[in-house]
Amino acid sequence: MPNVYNWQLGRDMGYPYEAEYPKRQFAFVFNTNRCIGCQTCTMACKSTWTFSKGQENMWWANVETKPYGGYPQHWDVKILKLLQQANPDAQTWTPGDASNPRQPYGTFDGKTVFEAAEKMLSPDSARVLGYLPKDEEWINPNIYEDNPSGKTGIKGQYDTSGTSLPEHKTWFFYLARICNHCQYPACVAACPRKAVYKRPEDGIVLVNQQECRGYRKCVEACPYKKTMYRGNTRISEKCVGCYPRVEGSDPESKGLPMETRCMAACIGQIRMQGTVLLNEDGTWAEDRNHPLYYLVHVAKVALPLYPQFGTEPNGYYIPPRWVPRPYLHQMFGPGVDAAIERYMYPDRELLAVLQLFRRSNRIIYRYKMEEGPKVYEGTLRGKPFEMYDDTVIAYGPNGEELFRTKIEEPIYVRPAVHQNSI
Amino acid sequence: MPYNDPEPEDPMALNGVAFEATPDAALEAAYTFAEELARLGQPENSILYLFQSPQYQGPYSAFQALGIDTVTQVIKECCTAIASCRAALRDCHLAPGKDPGCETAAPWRCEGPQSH
Repeated sequence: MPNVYNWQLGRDMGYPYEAEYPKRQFAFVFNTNRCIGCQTCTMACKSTWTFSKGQENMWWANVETKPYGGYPQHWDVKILKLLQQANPDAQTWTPGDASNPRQPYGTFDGKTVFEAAEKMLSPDSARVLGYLPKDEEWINPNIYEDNPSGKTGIKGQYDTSGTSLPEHKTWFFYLARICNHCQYPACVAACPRKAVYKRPEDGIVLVNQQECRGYRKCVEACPYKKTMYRGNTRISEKCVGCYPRVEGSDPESKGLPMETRCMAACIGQIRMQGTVLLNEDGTWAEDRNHPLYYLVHVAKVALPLYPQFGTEPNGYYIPPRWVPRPYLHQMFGPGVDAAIERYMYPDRELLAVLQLFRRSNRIIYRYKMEEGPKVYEGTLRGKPFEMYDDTVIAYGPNGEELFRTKIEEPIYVRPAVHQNSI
Repeated sequence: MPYNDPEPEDPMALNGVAFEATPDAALEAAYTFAEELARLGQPENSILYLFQSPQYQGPYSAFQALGIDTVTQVIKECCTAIASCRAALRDCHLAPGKDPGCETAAPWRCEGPQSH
């Protein structure tokens, strides 16, 4: 098996194909601290791509309530268990120099889904450690939360109080997910027909519908379970990264790269998507004023989802602040503590970049800050805290200004008549 | 909801599993929600309403654990620090300076009608 470099693991790893990287890579950051689980993203995707016969249980974008929720059910627990069986108690990290962009999270000492396959699977042609979810595991997009709850015996009515429900000292958070359009996709590695491919222009991973014969090797292999089988066409489908919008060929985009449907629909303002420049070795090229580069490599508040799987996912998450750290370490890797500390006490630049979320549906390629006056000086949770009313300006692919916004939150007041007119 | 009742013998079926939180989880969650909503420009009473609504399960569970006094104090602290900027009323159909009759997190500044 050829060796490729995985910067999220800080080391070389085995992958069935030689390394090949796109010019720019589709990537996104989700802020889990803001997600309210409204499922608007889920429905935006559903109504765009998966509304047809045979796609009833297919949700390319979903929001699941962690720790118990999952689509398909228990997907992450099952993969983690398989890896644990393959490499008992050795899925560990060695800390390193966080300032090194080639290994910002240290070095992963365990086995990836590709490396574990060599040990666990037979025949030799099996390339990725995974499992095929059962039909019933795909039925619930977010089990126990996908129907409104009401009192027993009363139909068609919400439970308006909820106070009679049992109360536990528990925690939960909403984890929004789409395909991670991984740098080393497990679906690409597993497909015996080479029907799954990664676009050279933006790294979006697609299934060639002409070539696919529905073997479901990709469904079995993807550790995030984001390739799905469609029974009535007998081929597999997956998130297409809304590529007509990303490449600017969607009529609404007017030639300018536009964020995906799930990003644009997010009312909680948790999402930002873009395309990042890559070096020849697949690491992120320094692009200091790109908002995603800033969040992942400068502020380091956004972390990959289950980096230990080894696919180098391009979805990054600002971890929830209130969740027990061992759980977060397992889910987002060793960068969690520093990320939360930084996010809890954001500096001027981080606050400004956070204001870029969902001000526009155009893809941001660069931002610039203009410093404003200090508007608050005091303490927050016992620590010194300062607020500045800075301005942050977003630019498109050709250097054109997309929008500018300030730390002060704009409130748009609609006319009393024709409120929904566009 | 699932079509059948959970089978007690099925180790993968969710059947009343409680993941215990750390002692300060509820307070941390309350600060997170209050800070995020303050950054979004919500006024104190709107944030408190959200904490009190069982439809918003995260804030509501924090509210149940902490009680109204603590939650009110958390919201006030966050709004004082974060929502200290003025809220700018943009794309407003009213003339600049006229009261639009809406609540904002901080003193507002009406910029009047704008095209965007």
